[in-house]
Amino acid sequence: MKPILKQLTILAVFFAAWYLGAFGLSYIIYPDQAGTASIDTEEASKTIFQSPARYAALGLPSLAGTHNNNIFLIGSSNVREGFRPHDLGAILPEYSVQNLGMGASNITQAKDVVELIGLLPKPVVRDSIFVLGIWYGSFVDDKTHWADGASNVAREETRYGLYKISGGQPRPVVEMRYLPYLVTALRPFLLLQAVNMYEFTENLKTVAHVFFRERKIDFSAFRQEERAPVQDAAFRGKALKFWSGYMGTKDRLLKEEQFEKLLELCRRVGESGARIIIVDMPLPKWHRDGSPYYADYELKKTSYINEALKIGCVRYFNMQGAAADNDFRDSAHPRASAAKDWSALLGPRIRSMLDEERKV
Amino acid sequence: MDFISLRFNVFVLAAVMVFYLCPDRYRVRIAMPLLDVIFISSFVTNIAQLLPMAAFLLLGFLCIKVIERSPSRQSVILSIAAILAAFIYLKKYAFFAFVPGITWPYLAVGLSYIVFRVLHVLVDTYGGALKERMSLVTYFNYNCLFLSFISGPIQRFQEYREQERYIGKKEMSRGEVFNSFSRIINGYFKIAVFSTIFLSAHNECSVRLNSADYEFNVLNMLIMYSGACLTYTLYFYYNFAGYMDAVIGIGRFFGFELPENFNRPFTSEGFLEFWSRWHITLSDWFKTYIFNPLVKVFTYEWSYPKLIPYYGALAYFITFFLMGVWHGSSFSFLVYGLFLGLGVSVNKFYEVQMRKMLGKVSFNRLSENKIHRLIGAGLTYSYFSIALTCLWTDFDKLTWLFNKMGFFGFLVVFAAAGLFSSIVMLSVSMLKHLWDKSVKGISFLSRDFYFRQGYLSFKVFLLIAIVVSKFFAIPEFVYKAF
Repeated sequence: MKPILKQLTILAVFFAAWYLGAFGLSYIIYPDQAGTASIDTEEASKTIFQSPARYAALGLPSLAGTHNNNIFLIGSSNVREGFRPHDLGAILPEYSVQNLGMGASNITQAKDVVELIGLLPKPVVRDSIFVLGIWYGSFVDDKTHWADGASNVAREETRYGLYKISGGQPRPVVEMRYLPYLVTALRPFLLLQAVNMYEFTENLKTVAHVFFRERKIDFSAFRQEERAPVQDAAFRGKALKFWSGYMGTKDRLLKEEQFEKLLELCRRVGESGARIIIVDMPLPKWHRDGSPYYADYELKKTSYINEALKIGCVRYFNMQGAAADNDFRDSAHPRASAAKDWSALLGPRIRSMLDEERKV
Repeated sequence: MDFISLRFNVFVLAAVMVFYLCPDRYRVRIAMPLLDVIFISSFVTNIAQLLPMAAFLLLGFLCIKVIERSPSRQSVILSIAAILAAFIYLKKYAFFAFVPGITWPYLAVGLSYIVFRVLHVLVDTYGGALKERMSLVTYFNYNCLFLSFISGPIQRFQEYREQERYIGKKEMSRGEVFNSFSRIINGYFKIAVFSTIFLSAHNECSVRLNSADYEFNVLNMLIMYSGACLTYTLYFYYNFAGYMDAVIGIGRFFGFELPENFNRPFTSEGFLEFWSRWHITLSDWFKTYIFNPLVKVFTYEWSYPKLIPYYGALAYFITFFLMGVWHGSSFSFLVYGLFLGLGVSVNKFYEVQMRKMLGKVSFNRLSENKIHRLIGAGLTYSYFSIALTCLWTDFDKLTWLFNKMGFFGFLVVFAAAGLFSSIVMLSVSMLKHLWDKSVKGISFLSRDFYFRQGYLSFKVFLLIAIVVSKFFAIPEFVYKAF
């Protein structure tokens, strides 16, 4: 037995050396940003988390020890790029702006993020403001959108065993305020994943998932450039074709499922004592006019928004016509210069909402 | 107890400590059976689930005692029949679905391997190859050794007994311990990484075959089916071979040198050779206890000298058909048996005919030709991959596939996948050659203590990273199902 135990000890020592080496390297490559107590998923690729979903799942616990009033920006990539924390923070300096927008989010994923936020201590969440950006793409149904039924955030929640799912809700395995220590202990393993393996395999899976499906998705229309290509007819045609493939349904109708989840999301926010402002995100006019889903979106959205407004903590802000076509660098995302304007519109709206509440 | 789980590894560590701390005289009689019982019990939630297996083991033991006392032809035939009947009953073969079964859930894992061990002991006792009078404890330890309980390897009792005598008495050298740890970690790596990757790839292909929404043309279907087959074989290999590596490595800690089950199977140039490299202990068992007796019977019953070479082909067909059926209780495994039987018998028939036509020397020269070998290897891999379809589909899906693709479609897949596999094998072989050349200069590192330990512990680090991060969903051990 002695040689076996001896070898086990040697292995343990060498393993510890690798672990500590990777631990140190993780701080050199990805310096700790915990001290800033703010989350911006636009910067996810610069953090050890790499993906916005993992950043949300593992980075949110770092807010547990803070005492700021928070604005949580939730939704798709147009939210992430459209409302920059420093722009909004300049208008509302008494709030810490947490950007939790994620590319290709639907309402289910937005609700997953809200539930994660709901796990934070009550003082952190209670007087917060949730800003949920919606557009027709937010209402793509789960079966069409998520390959194995779970959103990216839901998958990241259970990946490292830091959360357990109980009754459909995530529960941290330890108190939220201790989770950052467990996240720190995971840094060597996060570093390994950060070496692009995650992105590579996720991209492979996405390509395989999309490539063989009935709907064809033309990715060439989805390249991200600040100097946007000329949005000529060819470009617009490709973009509209892409989004039709993205939404997937043959009948060009949106399922009720995501609208129901929107109501659940609003109720969840209400239960936590916070408020939510649903922002109808801008799109280029040619996109609104050209999308076969837009009419159904307008129709369904109206009744559900009216229902949501009854919840009490909900406000609605329609920004659909707020941006000119030139503000966009593609079919949905603003140029950086235009994003300032979007925040300049949203900020005062939030301010007036707060003022109204004070009057009451 | 899942094989890749913290629980199993803690169990192994505890088992090693119990084993070596236990006084020598109690090691085999108490420590080993206790560890086996603990391991087997981890698969059940109440004792009733163990009763059928316990009854089966008892039946086997009684039959062995009967043979020991009165070794007659009648008693051995009746014993074999009783064991097989009990096995078929407990495995719930679909062909006997009309027979009322046991109503409560029970443990059947490991049964397929226990039956081999029991039959082998029965036959060898009758034949005089096994003279020892087996005690109940020895019988239990041999059949239920936790190391090989789930899926073998199938070790002959004589070899097991020889090793059992020296258990705990031989001190392992540092090199042996290191090699065992290395083997275990490599095994886990095969399961956690390679089998997972290929299973993911297989699922991406097979889900598209299964999807009712997916409209494909015939070409797409053939490509998707080929992809599903080829990737499943690699998943299967890495999963099973990984398990074997780990089991063999762990076995050495207890003083057991378990037999190898794989020997570079994808270098096989024919289906016959394949079965001398894949699941070796299983094919050895079938060769010894089914094939050899069959050939003797055919030669004795039908003494036509010109047909003697073909008796082998017939015996192979029957042997491998039974091997295929053994794998599972549904009708798909009948088809699997047909595939295996056909593959081996046609291979044998080919050899016999080619020797006749070309002569032995010319045929041997042809067999050594590089292109012949490469094509043989590719077609062998391709054929086996198609045969394995029976393991990842059900009977309805099999018939659907056959209706959609037709015999010609399968033939096209066989040829195309075979050619593709040949090209891949050639590329891999060239890359390996280049790699071996490039690392030749630094081969001294493999003897350096720090390099070896560092490299091994890095693999452990990677393994833990993969398991902790659930980077992929690590598949269960595939052969547990058989």
